[in-house]
Amino acid sequence: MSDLNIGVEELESITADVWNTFVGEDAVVLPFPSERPNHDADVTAHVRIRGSVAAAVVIACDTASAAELARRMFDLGPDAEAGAEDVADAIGELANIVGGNVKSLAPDAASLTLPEVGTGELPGDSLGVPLCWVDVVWDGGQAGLSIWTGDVNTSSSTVGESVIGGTAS
Amino acid sequence: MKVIVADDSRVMRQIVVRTLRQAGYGDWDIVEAEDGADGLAKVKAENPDLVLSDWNMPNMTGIEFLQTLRASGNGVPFCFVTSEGSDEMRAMAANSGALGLIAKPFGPETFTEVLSLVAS
Repeated sequence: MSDLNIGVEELESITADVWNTFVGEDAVVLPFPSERPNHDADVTAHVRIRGSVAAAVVIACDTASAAELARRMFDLGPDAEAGAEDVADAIGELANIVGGNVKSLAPDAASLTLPEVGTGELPGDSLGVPLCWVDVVWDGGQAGLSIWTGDVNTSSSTVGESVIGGTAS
Repeated sequence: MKVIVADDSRVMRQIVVRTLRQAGYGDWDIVEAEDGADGLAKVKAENPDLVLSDWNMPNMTGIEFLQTLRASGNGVPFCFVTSEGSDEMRAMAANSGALGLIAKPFGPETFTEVLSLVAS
C-alpha cells in the first residue's frame, strides 16, 4: 500500500478550483482551517479511493449551505429552493469531483467509489485517520473538506487523534 | 449535430449542457443519459454525432460504454468528461478509442479546445 502524496496545499488548490468553477467566484478557501476536520454535519458526502491507496474524501456542511450549493450548481433563480434530491446530487457530485482530483495524485492504479450522501456524523473509525482538511466559504454558505487515509476495515483510529491544525502529522 | 451527454449526476449533465452553450454550441441537439447503459441504448436509438460521457457511473462505466461501442463496430466520436484526469486515465481513454478527456472542473474554453476537432 502506497502513501497518498497529498497535503493541505493540494487540497486547498483542488477545492478552490472546483468551488470557483461550479459554485461561484466568491468562494474562498480559508487560510486557517478549523482545528479538526468537520465530519459531523447536517449533510455529508464522501467517496472512497481504493487500490494503491486507501483514502476517503469528505464534504460536510449545514443544511442551508448544502441547499445553496445545489441552488447555484443547478443555476436556480435567487428565490428558488433546491429539493432534497437536487441537494444530494449536487453535494455528491462535488465529492466525486474532488475525490477524482485527489485520486489523480495517487502514485499507482486506484479506483474511485460512487459518492455516498448522508446526514449526521460519519464515524471517524470508518474513515481512517484525517490527513488534511480545509474550510471553504462563499456568500450564503460554508463547507469543510477533508481527506482521510487508512484501511477502513482494520483501522482503530478515532477522530481527534493525530490531529494538528489543518493537517495531520 | 446531435450529442449524447451521459452522467449519473443530473446537475453535472446540466452543467455540461450549460458549458456547451457558453462554448458556442448552443444549437446542438442534446440527448441526456443517466449512466453508461442508458448511453449505449441512446446511441443505438439516436445515432449521435458525438458522445460526452462521465467515467465513474453505476450500471456501466464510461470506459465500458466506450469499449462496448467500439467492440460493436460503432466509431462515434467519444469524449470523456470526468473528474479523473491522470495520465493513466488519459492513456486508457485514448487506447480505447476516445477522442479526448475533459477533466472536471472545466470551463467553456476547454470544451472549445477539445470539441473543435469534431465540430468543424
